[in-house]
Parts: sequence; structure tokens; C-alpha cells
Amino acid sequence: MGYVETSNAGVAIALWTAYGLFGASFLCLLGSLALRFLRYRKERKQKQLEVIWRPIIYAVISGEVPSDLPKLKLGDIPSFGVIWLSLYQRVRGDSAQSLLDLLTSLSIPQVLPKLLQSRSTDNKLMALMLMTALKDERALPYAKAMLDHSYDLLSHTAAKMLMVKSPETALPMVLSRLTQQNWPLHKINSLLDTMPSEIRLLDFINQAIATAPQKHIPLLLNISHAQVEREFGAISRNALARFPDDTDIIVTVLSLTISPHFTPLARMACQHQNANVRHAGIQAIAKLSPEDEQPALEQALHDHDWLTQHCAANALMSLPTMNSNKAQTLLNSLHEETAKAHLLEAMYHKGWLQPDNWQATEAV
Amino acid sequence: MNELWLTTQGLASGAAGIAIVITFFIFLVYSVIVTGSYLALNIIALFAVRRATRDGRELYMPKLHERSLPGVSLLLTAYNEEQLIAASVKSLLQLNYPDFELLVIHDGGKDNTMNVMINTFEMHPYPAAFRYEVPCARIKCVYKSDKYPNLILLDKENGGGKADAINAGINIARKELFCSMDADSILERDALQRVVRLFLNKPGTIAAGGTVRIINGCKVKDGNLVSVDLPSSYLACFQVLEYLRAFLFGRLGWSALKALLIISGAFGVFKRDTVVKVGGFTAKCLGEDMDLVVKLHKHHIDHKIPYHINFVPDPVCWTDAPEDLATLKKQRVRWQRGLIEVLIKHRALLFSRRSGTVGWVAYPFMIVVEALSPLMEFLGLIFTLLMYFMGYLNGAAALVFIFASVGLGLLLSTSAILLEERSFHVYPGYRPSIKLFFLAIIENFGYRQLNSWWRLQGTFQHFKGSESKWGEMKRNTGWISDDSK
Repeated sequence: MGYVETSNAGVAIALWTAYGLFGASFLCLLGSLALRFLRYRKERKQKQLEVIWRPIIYAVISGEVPSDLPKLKLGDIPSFGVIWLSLYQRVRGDSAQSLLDLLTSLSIPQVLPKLLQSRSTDNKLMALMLMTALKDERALPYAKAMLDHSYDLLSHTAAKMLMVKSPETALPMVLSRLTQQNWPLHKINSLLDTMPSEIRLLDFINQAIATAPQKHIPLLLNISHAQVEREFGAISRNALARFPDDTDIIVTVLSLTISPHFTPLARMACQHQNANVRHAGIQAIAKLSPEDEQPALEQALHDHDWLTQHCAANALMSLPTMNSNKAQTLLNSLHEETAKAHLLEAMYHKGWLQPDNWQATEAV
Repeated sequence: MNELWLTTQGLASGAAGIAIVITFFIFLVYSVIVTGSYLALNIIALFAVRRATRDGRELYMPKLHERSLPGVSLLLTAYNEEQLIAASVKSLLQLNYPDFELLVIHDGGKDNTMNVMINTFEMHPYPAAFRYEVPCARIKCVYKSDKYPNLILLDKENGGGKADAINAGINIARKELFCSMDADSILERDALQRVVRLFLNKPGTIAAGGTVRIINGCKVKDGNLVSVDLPSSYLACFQVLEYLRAFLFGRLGWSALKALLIISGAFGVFKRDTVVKVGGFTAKCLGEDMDLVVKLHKHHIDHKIPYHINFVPDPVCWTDAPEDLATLKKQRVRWQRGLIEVLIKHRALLFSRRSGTVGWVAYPFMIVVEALSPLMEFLGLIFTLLMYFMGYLNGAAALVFIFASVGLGLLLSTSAILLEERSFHVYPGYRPSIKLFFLAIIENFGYRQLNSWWRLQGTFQHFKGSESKWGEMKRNTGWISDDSK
């Protein structure tokens, strides 16, 4: 001790660093306590707004608009928006229109462009959501700019705004993002659901099927199935005509179709060298063909691929002509252990297996 | 500068003096690297947490994901878990997820786990067709529940570790994704949705982890987490701080750098076929969770396949923390042995071409900052004591150094508390933050050193080649409400 004084520059720096670290730690603690205080205050305020506005909004939904509405401060709009949107999502028709009228009565549309310029992303999102509900075209430039925002909810709301207000421009923009990150299929499908009915999606899809790159086609087929199911057969035939050997397209068509027109394709797929195509073919055969396809499926039960055997066993058990006795006869005729194992499991799921009919199985 | 910290009065001259000064500088540089790395991770996490929290919000989002969520097989390993197994299974069966199967893997334990499962959930043998796609000890029988069609029980021979048990589960699993977890863990009801969302939003995601929190002090009723609080035991409270640091800025920071090397064994979701391609978990490996993630990185880097390994900071899984020193020691020794084992096994990844931040930043960090830290801390202590007894230590400067070191530890802990408040704020009231702040000071005097000592023992055990085994862990059941036991 005592060889070095704190006046020594090096130690003094270390000492001040230590003080700084303790000080910063203390600030972090204070910061976290302050954040908690602010959060509690915000929650209290939200509760107060709930007490005032939720009954009013319910009354508006049931058609009883109060003549004297309480005043809403600018700062309370985001919190009010939370309550309003939570109910707006659940209603349709006149009730939805009444809720939109309530926004107008409160002069909210006038302040939304200002909220859209807010520094807070949450406030911007709230403004965009409310403007989308109001179909307020003043938000269009902002929506275009936010289409590829990394915040998924903001990007989704922006796309929804464009789809609602400017579908003909928005549709190609959305479809062109099919294979991009943050644009999964379910997001695109949900956006297409919001599109006005007068827009003929089929024309866009047909055009896309005729021109889109090969890797987009299975996704487009999925969209066709979800959006224009009745046209799925024709769209699939066009896609297959363009890319007859693409395994992903064949698998997609066979997985989604319920049309017997594709039975020949399913039969061919059962013999395909690609295991995924064989699985899809077997599953499609069981689903599509009214005829007895048992021999083809029995053959698939002896396939060298484990999953193909599994699909074949399940497909066999789902044939309309199959029953407990036939299944038992088939089981007795099998010699290959893996085929037996798959069939046993499939029979169990059908309830066609007595507990004492089998021993606890080992892996094969 | 060395004169500041080591007195030159009587300092051996010549080679001995130079050696002492060089040793001192090695420790100093090491401290700077460790400090700098942690602070850098902390800053990255500060930026990442806001976005990650926001992305996790489902505010008015139409139920976009529900119709396209892939199936998940939940793999719950159970080795002598008769006390907890029923509560865990009941909790998991209530998960809010449209398509999942729950596979409980009885790993050849000697207690009553099998009977508890069979009786509680009315299970009977069933002819599951399966094959050994990844290696594991023999699966003796597969059971299915009469009450819950998605509940399956595997009875297998003990394969010497959790890795072997999960591999057995992978062999039986039928869904596209699987989620490995421990029997002493409770999942949030929407945990799977929150994590699986990453697989949908980022095509090419092969694995994702979530934040694990300490359940001691909380209350679980009928499988649901009904109240959250800090544990009453100080030992468990220290672990709360460790988990906050590890997950909130450790994993989140690495994930932001696309270099996440660990997904906790207590909760991780993986693509089944990808894991099968890399041979599944490595049996007898004590760091099986890290080993798998590193294998996945290596496989995709070697084969130039684009991929993502992600992390969601949402608190999705709550796990039981040891409250006695013996169990905690076993856990920490095992973690250290596992870490060293994995780092040595996959050393080819270190500074390898095309390995990016994984091989050039995360891997060296794991070696220098994580694996070597107990050894460096121990050697540093010996060096300090030697200098003290030889009269070379500048006591005042050493105290300043200790003061600064405590300050740094405190800053890392409090910034984790701040991140927690900014993101998920799971502990109610002001008291937990203040309590954690004081615990962050106290942990520097005894707990940290004890932890380093255990990890050092783990290091020696690894290099001595002692038999690697999991050993039995003493479980706490205080967090399960009496009527749920």
C-alpha cells in the first residue's frame, strides 16, 4: 500500500473509470425505475381511457351514438386507437361504418397526417392503421415508402393500405415480392383477401403464370388455390404446360388439387424417380381416384424409400374400398418388415388393430 | 506503466523482472479484450432489443400465421423426473399452437416416471413405425395416450445423456420442426408461435432459440404460469442475473451479428430434416446444444447453403434453477466441460474461409472470453497473491483495479436490468430491479469466484479425461402450486 498516490495519473484514470462504471450502473438502475414508472403511468392512463371509451364504442356499435362525446386530447389518440382497433377488427357492415363515423365525429382524420409524421414508429403505425380503416388516400405516399420496412407490421399495414386504395398498382408490387424475405405466402394471401372484389385477380395470376420465373410458379399456384380455387385446375394446366418437368410444380399441383383430371399425373408421379414427387403422387391417388388403386399403392408399399412406404400405407388405409378384414389380409401377405411396420401403424390409426394382435415393435 | 500496479521497489531485475512485467501485461490485455467484447455485445443488444421486441408484438395483426404454421414435435426428455413430469406434460398440452405432438422420452431412469405417465395420461403401447435415422440407444416401446391423441411416450434404454434421448425423439418425431426441452421447464402458452414465426418470416431458417428465465419464485398452477417473482434463495437470484445477461445481451447480440453459437437445451426449435443431415445430437456430448448449433453452422458453411439461425428475446421458457451448491456445481462443471469439448471438436471452424462472423468473431470469443476465463481468473488470482507475498504488489492500485472490475460487472448486470425493463418487464413492481442491483454488487464477492472455481474444475476434468456423465440434478418443486402436484 501507499507506493502510488491517487494523484498518479494512471491510477487516477482507473479510479475515475471505476467511478464512471458505478455511476453508469446507477443511471441504468434509475433509468429502469423511471421506465417502469412511465409504463405504469401509461397503463393507468390506458385504463382510464378504457373506462370512458369502451362503453361509448360498444354503444356506437349497437347504433346508439351518444349525443355528447367526451373530448379526446391529441396525445390520447394512440391509446384511443388501441381500443378502437381492437373492436373494429371484430365487426362488419353497419357497425364498422358506425365506428368509422365515430372517428370523424371526433375529428380524428384531421390529426392523422400529423401523427403520421411523428418520431415514434408506434404512433406512425397507429396513424397508418386508422387511415387504412378510413381508406384515407393521404397516407398513400407514406404507405409506398413503408412497403419494405423491416418492421413486419408496418410493412403489412402499408401493403394493406395500398391494396385497399390502389389495388391495380399494388397487386403487381405485392406479387413481385413473392420470393423476398419478410413476404411469406400467408402474408400475401391475407393482403389479397382485403382486395376489392371488382379487381379480377385471375387475370393477374394468369399473366404471372405465363411470365413469372420458374421458382415463383409453385407460390403462385398456392395463391391461386387460396384465392381462385375454382380456376385452380386451369391455372395448374397452364403452369404444367410451361414447365412440365418441374418437380416442385408437380408436387404443388398434386398436393392441392381435388380434381380427378389430375389422376393420370398422380399415377405417373407414383413412378417418378424423385421421392417427393412419389409421396405427392401416392397421396393424390388416395385423394382423387374413385377407382380401386390398391395394386399401385401396394407396389408403392414396397418402395425402397421409407417415406414413400409410409405414404403408401396411409393411402391404402384411406381407400374407400378398404376395411378391417382386407387390411388384415394385406398385412398377413407382407414379408418385408418395413412395409409391415408402416401398415401396422396405419391400421392402428384406423382402429383396425386389436391391442393383442401385435407385439411392441422394434425399429426396422 | 507497470509501476502503477507493481511496485518497482525490490522488483527482481533481469529475466525475472521482465517475466513479471510481461505476465502483468498479458492479464491487462486479457481484461481489456473481455471488457471490450462484453460492452460491444451490450451496445449491439441495446439497438437490437427494441426491434426484436417490436417484431414480437402481434398488435392487431390478423391471425396471419395460424393457417400456415408448420407442425412441431415437442421433445421432452425425462430422466428420473417423477416429481415434475405430470405438471410439465399438463402444461405443454395446453400450448396455443395448431399442430403439435408431444413426445416424452423416458431415458431409462430408475424412478416411477413411466408409471406416472401411463397412469396419469392413460397411455398404452402403440405400433409406431420408426427407424434409427440418428444414432441413439435402443427404443424399447412407444406409447400413445387415450386422453390426448398428440401425446406419445418413448421408453428407451439409457444412452448416457440428454443428446441420446433427444435423438430417440427425433427418430420418432413426424413433424417438420422439433423443439427440444427439459422436463423441469415450463413454456409460455404462445411460446411456439412466437419462435416458429421466425421460420415463416425468414425462409432458410434452420434453428431458433428463445429466452429462458428462472422459474424459482414464480407460481405454476395446472401447468400455467400464474405469478412471476424473484426467487427467495440468493443462489437462484444470482442465476436470474446470469440468465438476464446471457440471454438479453449475450444471445441477442450474437444473433444480431448472425453468429449465434448456442441455443439453450431448455428450449430450441430446429428443422428436423436438417438436423438429421448433420447426424442429430452428438451422444455422450455434455454440450450437446452448442455442439448441434456449431455442426449446423459448419454444414451450411461447408456446403455453401444459405441459412439463418435466429433468436427471439421473448421470455418463452421458464426453467428450474438449482438452489443448492452441489447441484449448481454439477451444472457449471458440465457446462464448462461441454463448452471445451465442443470448441476443441469443431476447431476447424476457427478462422476458416467463408465462416464469416461465426469463425472469425464468435468462435474466438468463445475460446478466449468464455472457455479461458476461469483459467485466466485463477492464474490472475495466483499472480496477484504471489506479487503480494513477494512485496511487489501495489496494494492501492490493486484495490482500484478490483473496484473497477466490480464496477464493470455491475454495469453489465444493470444494463441487462435496463434492457429487461425496456423490453419485457416480467417482474412486477420496483422491488425486483432494486434487489437485482444490490445482488449484482454482492455476486462479485464469493459467487463469481466460486463459479470460476467450478468451471476451472470442469476444465481440468475435461483434460484429465474423466468420465463425462450428466448425473442426477436435485429438482425444486416449490414453484408448483400444491393442488397441481
